[in-house]
Amino acid sequence: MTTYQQSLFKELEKANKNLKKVIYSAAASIEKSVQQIVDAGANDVRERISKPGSGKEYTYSYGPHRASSPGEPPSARIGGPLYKSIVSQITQSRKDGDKGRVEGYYGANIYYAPFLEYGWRRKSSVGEPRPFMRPSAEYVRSITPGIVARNWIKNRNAAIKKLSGSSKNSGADQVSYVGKMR
Amino acid sequence: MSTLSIGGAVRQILVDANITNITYKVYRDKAPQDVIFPYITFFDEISNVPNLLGDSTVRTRKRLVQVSLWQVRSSEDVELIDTVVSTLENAALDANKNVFRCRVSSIERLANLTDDIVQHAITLTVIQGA
Repeated sequence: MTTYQQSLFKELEKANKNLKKVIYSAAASIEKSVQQIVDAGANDVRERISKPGSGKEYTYSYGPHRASSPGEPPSARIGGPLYKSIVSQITQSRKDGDKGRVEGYYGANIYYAPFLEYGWRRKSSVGEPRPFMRPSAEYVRSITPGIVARNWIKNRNAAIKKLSGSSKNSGADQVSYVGKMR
Repeated sequence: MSTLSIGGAVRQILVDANITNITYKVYRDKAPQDVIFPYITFFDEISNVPNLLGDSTVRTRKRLVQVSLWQVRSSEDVELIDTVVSTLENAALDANKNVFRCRVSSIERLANLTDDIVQHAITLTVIQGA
C-alpha cells in the first residue's frame, strides 16, 4: 500500500468517525423533540377544554358556566379539576440490547376523563361523548414530523459546525490533498 | 354511490351483519332510554382532519367515528365485541363519499360497577375522499 493510499484510508476513517458524531448528536435531539411534542399536546388539550361550550348554563360559586354539548370538547373551568389534571411527561428506559428509548405521555389523570371522552351511561342518565383527547392526538400526529425534523436539522448543523471548527485540516489543505491524489 | 353518510353506512354494515342479540339496535348518538341491552350507539365525526400532500392539496380526509357496544356487566357476552370488531374492520362502507379504508384503531372497555353496565368504545378510522 502506498503512502497516499494509507493517508486516504486514514482520512476515510476520520470521516467515518465524524459522520457517526453527527448522526449521534442529531439522535440526541429526539428527547428534546418528544418533550416538545407532549408539551404541545397538553397545551392543545388545555386550549380545547378551556373554551365555553354551547350547552346548558349553570351558576356556580365562581360564576356562570356554560357546559359543553355532545361532540364538543368538555368545557372545563380554567384552574378547575379537569384543567389541572392535564399532564405531560417523558420517560427514558433502557432494555437489554436497546440503545435507550424515550417515551412521552400526555393526558388527563382524573378518573372521569375517559367517561367524558367516550360517553357514559347510568341507570338514570346517559352522557354522549365529549371527545377531547382523540382530536388532540390527531393534531399532535400532524405536527410531530415537523418538530422532529426541525430539531434534528438544528442539532446536525450544530455538530457539523463544531467539527469543522475543531478540524485541523483547513479547506486549503483538503484541496491540496486532493491535488496530490491525482 | 349511496346517499348514506359515513355514520349511516356504519349503521348499515352493523345492521346487515345481523349480530346476535343486537340485530337492528344500532342508534346514532344516543339510544332510547327503554332500550334492552345489548345495543350499539355510534357517534360520527369525532375528528375530521385533512391528509395533506406535499403541495398542500387535500385529496383525502381522516375521519374518526366512535362505535359503542353497551352490555349488562354481569351477563356480558365477551365474544360479542369480537363480532362487532370483525364486522367493522376493513368494512366496505357504501356512503356518499369514497371510502378508501375503514380500520378499528382502538377499543376501550369502560365498566360502570355501580350500575352494572359495560361499554366497549371502538374508535374507527375512516379514510374518505375530500
